[in-house]
Amino acid sequence: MNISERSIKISGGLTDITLAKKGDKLAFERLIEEHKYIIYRVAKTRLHCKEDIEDVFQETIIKAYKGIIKLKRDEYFKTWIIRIMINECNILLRKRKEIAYIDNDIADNIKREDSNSNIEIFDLINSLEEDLKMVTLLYFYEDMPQKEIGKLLSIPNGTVRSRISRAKEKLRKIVKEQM
Amino acid sequence: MIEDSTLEKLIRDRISSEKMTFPEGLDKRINNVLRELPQVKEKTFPWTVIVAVAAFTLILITSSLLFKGMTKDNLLAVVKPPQSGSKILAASNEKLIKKYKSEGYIVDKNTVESAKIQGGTSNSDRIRAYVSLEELVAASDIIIQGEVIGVKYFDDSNYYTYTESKVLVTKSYNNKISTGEVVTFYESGGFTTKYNMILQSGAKEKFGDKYYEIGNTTPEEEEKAKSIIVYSHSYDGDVIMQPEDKVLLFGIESKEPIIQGTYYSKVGGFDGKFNIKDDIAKRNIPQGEFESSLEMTTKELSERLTDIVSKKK
Repeated sequence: MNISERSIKISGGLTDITLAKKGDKLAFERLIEEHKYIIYRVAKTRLHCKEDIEDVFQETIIKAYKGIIKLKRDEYFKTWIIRIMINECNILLRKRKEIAYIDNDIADNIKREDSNSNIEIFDLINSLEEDLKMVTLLYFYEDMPQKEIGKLLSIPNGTVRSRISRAKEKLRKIVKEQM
Repeated sequence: MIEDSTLEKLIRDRISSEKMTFPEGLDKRINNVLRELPQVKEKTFPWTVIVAVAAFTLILITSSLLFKGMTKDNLLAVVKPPQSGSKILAASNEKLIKKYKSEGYIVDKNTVESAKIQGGTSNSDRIRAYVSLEELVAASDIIIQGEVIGVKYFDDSNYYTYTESKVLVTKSYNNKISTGEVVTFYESGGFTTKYNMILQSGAKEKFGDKYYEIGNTTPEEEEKAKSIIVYSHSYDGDVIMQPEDKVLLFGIESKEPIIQGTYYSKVGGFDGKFNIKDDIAKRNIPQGEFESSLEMTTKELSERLTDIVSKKK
């Protein structure tokens, strides 16, 4: 059972999402607990500073809590909260006018520094080019269908496919060297 | 060569065997936030929602009347004949207006004004405030007085809307630009589709319920929103430039690759723009900001700027 399925589990006839919509704080807390890893990983692919990640996480929780009552389709809770986090990251980056520079050598560096398989897949994904990170994260960590990724990130399905394909090429090289 | 399916399996196996770690500090912060969240009571009857929906519907009806049959593309195309601007530059203006109109710029003030739907609250993304002319001069690459002869709107990859304005220079204070030249400025805000506004961060202020698209709107609503044009306010609370505006601008050559070619952004957002009307120049400082509008006659402004620039040299 993945996180998404767990989050809409039935609890006394009602899902946590339904309960949270009715103002049940504990249900909302459970939802955050269940989704905190993906929210955190999403933030980590966009921001580098620990304090920034904490700030946007806090904003995401507050906005999700205030906005959950308006969520029309419960099954979209995960994509909805990820979208909130992405938007919060964008707001912060926009305020800072920060440009995320892509370091194409990071993946190579990781390979050199640790040639055994101790590196988390997330670190490998986070070392990919900016446009590949989020797609790959959602695809591998969340098993999110390509169509849903496209909708979440507002990019065409073809772009999702090509990004996953490019990411796989890069991951293939790294994995091959680790074997 | 590792097969695609093998690679996927390898990665997924590694992911499932990974120990899920979470920063302790962040966990504490989350718990604090969750603890402080107010208890939300279920509403018995949503009067506020009904009022908001009624207001929103009224706005939509008004806007649909204004934009009857209009899409973003034909909004840009439908323009009335330009009215004359500065008398001195009227002849050259006409040629330029024709040129920019053919390139898709909106050249008529009335088109833009009638299209305004609603502003909204804003968050400043300015780095700092510029309270005096001296500070503005010190920070500027160019200081020009001129007339806006055409504007164009576009969205970036994050659905933020920008306005690109062509400004015909009638006076240049630091001689980096010549009189008669046309310079390009870009500002946050402008026209976009309602769909893009929904996707954009900060749309909450405009659409209330429709903050985030996924889960919050039905596919039908999303489809419909693609053909509705709305005014996306500037994020620093500024009033964006419109055709025929007479302005005095403090510009910085922009390093951000938003549009092609050389273009400028205003020093300190709204701080770096004076609007000129009836020989009075003043800055439009949004409510809640502490800077002064520095209102004065254009003659006084011109003299003071000339003086400050000469001292700077």
